[in-house]
Amino acid sequence: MDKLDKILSSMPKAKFSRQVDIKVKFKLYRLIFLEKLKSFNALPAYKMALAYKGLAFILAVTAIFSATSIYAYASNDIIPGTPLYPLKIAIEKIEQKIAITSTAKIDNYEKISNRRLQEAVNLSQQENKIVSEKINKNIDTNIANNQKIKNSINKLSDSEAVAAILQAKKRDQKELESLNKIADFAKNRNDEAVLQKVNEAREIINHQEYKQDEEIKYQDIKTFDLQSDNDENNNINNKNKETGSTYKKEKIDKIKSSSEENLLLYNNNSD
Amino acid sequence: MRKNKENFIPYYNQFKNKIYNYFLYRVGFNKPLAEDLTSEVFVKAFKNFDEFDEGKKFQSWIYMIAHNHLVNHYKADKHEVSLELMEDFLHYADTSAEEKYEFERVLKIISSMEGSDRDVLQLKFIDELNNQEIAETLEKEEGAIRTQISRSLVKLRKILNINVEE
Repeated sequence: MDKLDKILSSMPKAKFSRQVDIKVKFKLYRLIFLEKLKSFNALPAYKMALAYKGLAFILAVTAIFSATSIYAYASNDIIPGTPLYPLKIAIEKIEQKIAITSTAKIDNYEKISNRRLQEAVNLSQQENKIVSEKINKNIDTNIANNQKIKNSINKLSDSEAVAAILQAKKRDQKELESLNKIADFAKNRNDEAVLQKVNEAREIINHQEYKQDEEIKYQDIKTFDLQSDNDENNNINNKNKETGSTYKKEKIDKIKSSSEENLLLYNNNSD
Repeated sequence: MRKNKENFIPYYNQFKNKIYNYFLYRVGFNKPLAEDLTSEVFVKAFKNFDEFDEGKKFQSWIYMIAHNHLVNHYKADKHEVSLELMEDFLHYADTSAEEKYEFERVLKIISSMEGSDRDVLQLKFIDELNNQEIAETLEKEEGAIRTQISRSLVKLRKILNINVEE
């Protein structure tokens, strides 16, 4: 290769600027997109109609499944023996797994416990005796969940436990009402098996003791931070945290409505 | 036959610098103009991608489009080569001062030669196409291209030698 060839071959080569490169690529991709859109629109009318119908079908199935799941999950009419009951149980299991904290677990157990009892009440209204087994199974689940609630409450801190115990006691009262309803229906059917189970459940509720109950009553109530469903109570609590007097009085009244022995202990402590 | 247009992108990536270079040397090192022409060529090529025979070389095809586009551009917009821009371009090249001097000298001479001589020399040496590819680009016979290149080199040497003698 002579000198001229060498010079010609080693002429400097420029590079396309990155900025312009991006602009050109954008143009090309835009054209690709428009081509694809064109080809879709060019589909024969019947194919496009099929594509839209398919999409509409999928959306409809999804909507129906979602609606069914919500109905199955929320409805007390979905009782053991109905087709959607397994779906309801499956959703509850998922919900159980999602509940990680102690308070979330307690809420979950309470929800399920309440549901089982409501289902048992609905089952009780049926005439046949085949339902006895199902009712008893539901009550057993209710009892088991109550035990889980109790165990979970024991793991809570004192301040959290106060609210949880109050809530649990309210729930206990409601459960007793449901059990009474079940017992009435069972009596009408002369269903001894169910009556026995109901009595068992009542006994457990009536002798229910939450371990921290006694300890909490001896604490200085000024440090309490009760979470109540009653907004008014919350306002009073917050307002009187500084003074404590009205708050204290309400608390005393509440404790008075429980055992006298505990009240004596409280008064001794506050002196 | 309709092609998958996304297959065009790798070709673009492979030849964008070469086509840009092709234009830069032919539009007096006017960078913005060279960029515009490069962009237009690839968009044109994309739109006609269905006509490209994938059995043949993409390089030949894209250079042919670039060449025709340049011819059309010159028809529409006659301009003179700016030596100032060429000097700017060479100034930033990663070569020694001596080489830059030689490049400038040769490029000035090439730019003053006839169109056919200029085309084959640039395609052969700057764009690094082989004779067959040059023939496809210029839509001529390969034998004719070979002959043209030899003649153009002789002319260039004569002019260079004359300059040296002077």
